[in-house]
Amino acid sequence: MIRISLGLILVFALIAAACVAFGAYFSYVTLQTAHRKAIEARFNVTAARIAVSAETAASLGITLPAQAPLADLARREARLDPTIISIDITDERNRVLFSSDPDRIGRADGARAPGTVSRAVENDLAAVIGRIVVRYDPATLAQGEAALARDLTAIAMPALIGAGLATIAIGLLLANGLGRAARRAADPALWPPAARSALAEAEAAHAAAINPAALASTGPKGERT
Amino acid sequence: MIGLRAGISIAIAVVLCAALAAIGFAAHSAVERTIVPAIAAQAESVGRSAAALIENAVTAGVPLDKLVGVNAYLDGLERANVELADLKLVTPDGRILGHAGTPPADPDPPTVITSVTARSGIPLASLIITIDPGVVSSQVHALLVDVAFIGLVSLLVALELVALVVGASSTEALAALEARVRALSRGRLWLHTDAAEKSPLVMPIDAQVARLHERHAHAREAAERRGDTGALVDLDAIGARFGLGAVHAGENHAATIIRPALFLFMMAEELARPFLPRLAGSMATPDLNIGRDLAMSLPIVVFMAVVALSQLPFAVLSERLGRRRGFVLGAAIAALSYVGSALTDHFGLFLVSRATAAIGYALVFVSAQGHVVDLSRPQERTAALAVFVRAIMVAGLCGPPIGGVLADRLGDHAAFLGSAVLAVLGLLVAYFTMPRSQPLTGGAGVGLSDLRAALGAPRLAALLLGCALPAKFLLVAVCFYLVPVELQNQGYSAAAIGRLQMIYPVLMVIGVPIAAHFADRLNARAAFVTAGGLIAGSGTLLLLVGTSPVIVALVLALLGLGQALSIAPQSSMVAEAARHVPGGRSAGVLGLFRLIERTGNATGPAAAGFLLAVAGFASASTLIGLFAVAGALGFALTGTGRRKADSSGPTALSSEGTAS
Amino acid sequence: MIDRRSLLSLGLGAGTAGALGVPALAQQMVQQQPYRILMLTFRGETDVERGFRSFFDAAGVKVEFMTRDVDRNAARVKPILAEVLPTFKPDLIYTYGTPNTLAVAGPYDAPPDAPFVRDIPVVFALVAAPVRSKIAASVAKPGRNVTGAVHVVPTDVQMRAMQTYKPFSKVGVIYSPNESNSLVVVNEMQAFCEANNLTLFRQPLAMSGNLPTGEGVEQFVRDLRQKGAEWLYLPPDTFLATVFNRIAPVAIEVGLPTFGSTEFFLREGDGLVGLVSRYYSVGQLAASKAVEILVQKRAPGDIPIETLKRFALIINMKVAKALGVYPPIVMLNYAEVLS
Repeated sequence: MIRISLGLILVFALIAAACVAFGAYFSYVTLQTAHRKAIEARFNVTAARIAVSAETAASLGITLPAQAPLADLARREARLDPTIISIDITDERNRVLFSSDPDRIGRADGARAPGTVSRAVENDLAAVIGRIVVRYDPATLAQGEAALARDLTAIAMPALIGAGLATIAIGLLLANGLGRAARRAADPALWPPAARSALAEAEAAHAAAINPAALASTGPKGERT
Repeated sequence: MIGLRAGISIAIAVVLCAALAAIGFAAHSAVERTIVPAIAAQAESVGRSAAALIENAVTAGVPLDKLVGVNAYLDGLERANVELADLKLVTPDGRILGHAGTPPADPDPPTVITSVTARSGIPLASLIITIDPGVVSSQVHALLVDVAFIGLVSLLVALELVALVVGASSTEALAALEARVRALSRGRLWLHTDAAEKSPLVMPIDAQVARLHERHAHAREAAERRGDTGALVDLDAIGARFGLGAVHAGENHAATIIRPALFLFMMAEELARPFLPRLAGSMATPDLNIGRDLAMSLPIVVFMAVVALSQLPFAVLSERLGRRRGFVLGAAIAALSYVGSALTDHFGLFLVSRATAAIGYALVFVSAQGHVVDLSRPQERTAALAVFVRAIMVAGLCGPPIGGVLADRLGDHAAFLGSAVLAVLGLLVAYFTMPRSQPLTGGAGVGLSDLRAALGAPRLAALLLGCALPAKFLLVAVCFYLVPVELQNQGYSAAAIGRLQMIYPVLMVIGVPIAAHFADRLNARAAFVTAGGLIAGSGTLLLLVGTSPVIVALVLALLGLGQALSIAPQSSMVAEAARHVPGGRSAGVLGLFRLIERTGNATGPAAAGFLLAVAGFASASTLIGLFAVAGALGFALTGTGRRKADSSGPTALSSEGTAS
Repeated sequence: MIDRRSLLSLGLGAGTAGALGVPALAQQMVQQQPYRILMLTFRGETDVERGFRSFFDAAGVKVEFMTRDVDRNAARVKPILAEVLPTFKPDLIYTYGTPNTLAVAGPYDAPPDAPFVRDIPVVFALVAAPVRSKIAASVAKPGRNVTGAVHVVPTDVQMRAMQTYKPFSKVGVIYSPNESNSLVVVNEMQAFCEANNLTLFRQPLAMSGNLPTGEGVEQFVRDLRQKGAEWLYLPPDTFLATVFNRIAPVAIEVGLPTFGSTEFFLREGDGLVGLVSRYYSVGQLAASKAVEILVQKRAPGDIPIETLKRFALIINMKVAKALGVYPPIVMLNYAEVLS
């Protein structure tokens, strides 16, 4: 019984710790996602600005490959933000037409890679005619994530250990209480008041039933019949 | 006194609340330190880009005061970036060359100033961007709500794990000890028959109680021998009061036994919810010619349809197989289906795997429900069904965020393997915790005539059509269809709408067990069902006042509250009414009940879409709400007419109920 | 020198890519003699011819060119042909503009005995409307010894570009009434203006017999401005181009912005802005047709006449400054600015 109780307390402490860890990890993931979104929103805005230009031009019949001024625009935008590695303007098959980094022209990098934000360029008929792909320095993300992780673990670790220990402490207290209650329960003299009074009444009744004479004078009960 | 198990459950809840609050605090400071600057950086980026564009124009030869289209450009920026409240291009001598937006009400809002400089380095103008602090703080706020929700999920998962441990047979001895100690502390001196083998701590207590019982029997014999009826009456009165001569069967575990297995299994299905549409959409190749929207919804529709259609036949099947076998078989089918979903890239095969997962899901659902109904005594059936409902609701709350993270880390396909693992875990837990199946070999399937007879059972038709159907209809139409559509039209993000929609399940998880407890205790199931229907339905009337998110939240809260009151008592009443079916077979009636409920599920969005087009959001919701109110009133009316005829019912029902 | 990759990025049609691939190289190895191409220009060497020649260089096809200029008079084509054909024996004739092309190949419905070139392939550039000017019966399948490149940007797209630069409600146009190209464009403008509640002032050039004269063109510009025109549109009119140097100064003087339909008005005149096909690219597109004929031995009648689909928005900042009419700042993101 003691082993079961101790085992149970340990399991409960593990559950408590695991759930704090779970909560902390999921909070971290939530914040990490939010952080990535906030960072990428910036690059999205950059991509959107270029895409809007390209779309306006496309609506005037200037096709994407013919929009040579986009290269200047991409270079200008890429220069503005040191965390941007390159801005590519690709055609609908992901081949780079213009880029802030001239070495990338003609490459086909395929779809979305990590550390990139892309925005489709659509023509007036909402068909995708190309993409603006902003590649940014993953270190930006990593720095923020490390900071988030630091801030969270600084509190989550103590909370986790605390939760486990508190559970153990409360469990031991409760187990101790239960053990004492069990030991007392083995001895009717130490039973809880309700049980004791029940016992007393029952024993009085038993005594009366077994030996009515002894109690006849003590109350009217025995004489009722 | 509080037992070790209950006490430690409460302790864990309290300890976790404190620990999670600490994490929330940590998250808050992390957000302030890392994410808020990231949001602000966006304004700087916009500022730099706009300044560069103007510099470019000036370099190209456009004089600064002849710039064309500055207002339109700034307007576009302001529209594209919600957190920018005001953009202004000002020359050093204070002339405004371009302006968009309105300054925020805040007295000292954060601003970002970017200077526009000529190639020669001479400052030409400044672009002053004012950030709306309200937008930033509402983004932070939304994030913290998400973190709080994660905390709630962790807590619920912890409590489910605790329940799993507490329900495990290894703790039986502890449960037995606690039962004895608790009985003594209440002055109950009955004998206990629960623990299979007596532990050293239990034996002396039982010995004491047994001796007392012996003495009691002895005293009774003595009195009987003497013909002392007075003493006999006294003894029996005392026996009744203190449980002498009585044998206590121990607590009923039917519902608690199934809870962890059901929770795990339901989690498996709920995991897929956040990424299923996206996955389906990505899998549908253009040559299928069905369109992305349809491709995204098709797997869900197929799943729901198969589950609905399986209710009736599976109710019978599970009864024949036995509950444990039904559960295990269903979980196995579902687990294999999840593996199939994880492996296939083919849209058609994916649909098939969803359909077979639905078959497994339906079989598990029906078996678990049948298990609870079979093994709970009528007076505790509502509470037992509440545990059943709660397991599903908690899984519904915990599954999606976990699934979302899994999909994010492992990819959508691999996340389905997570579902498979959970389904297998559910299967194992069910196999080891559920009682051995006792398949019914006798009865035949449920025929139409049985169902007709079932509908003839007292108030059953009124209950099904007046309460069960409108309840699901209301939930799906308002909470899952009209509210998201309306809020989306109002310009709220999917995430914000999702947070609002959480009100319903959270209230359900909290409210269902409480309501069930009181419904059983007060023996007022019908009243709870009626009240729940009235509250849930009439809540929609608030929408006539306005459709702001606060009012919508209130409507959803009333919906959750109302349905928390009614859902378990309703199932319990159906199960009870099922006893009136000739042959005492409950399966068909329960199947019918779920089928009708799910009809409400299926018709809700369509009807809501139609009403929305015809009447608009507020009127459509109110109409549907009034439909639910009318149903509840109709149900209440059948009660007043039948009360007399029914008065002998409960005892008859109970005796039939305990007989099974 | 243009490399193959940037040629591809110009996207000069799928057929071109094939022509530049293995067959071209294989052909080149067995090519004993350079191909002979006679180039008939209209107003001297332009970017079109430069683009045309560069294409052969890039493709590695050896060509011997002979260039003759008609000096804005298509009547000179006949004597040139009579002189050159017997001696030079070209494999292909390149023609610039509608008048030259018609003078060489004649309309497709000309009587069989009419004195036109029928046995040598003709590739044209800078023809605005080959079907309406009867150069070919169909764009998809010319059906005779003629094919080529069309350079005109759709009129409604040009009108929209004009609106984007500076919104207007009244627009004027000056054109030669004898040039079918111009008439087509002016009618399309009329339709666009009617659909958008705008007013169009049509100003035909003065005629002497069958030919336009530049008489009074300065006054036409002033009149249009007087009537409230906010833009002067310059259609792809061969004659108008020759008098544009008289139009532009007046337009700047009276503050009337001009919108050019071809690169000429911007590069060689003082037009304000234009949405145009780059002449260089038009020349390349024409050359790709020539390569198909010479290297791949395809019949010109089977090679579709193609419209260049890449346009450029060109702004003359010098003119913008003189007029004080500047483009919206966002337009600078996609416009090519000449200063």
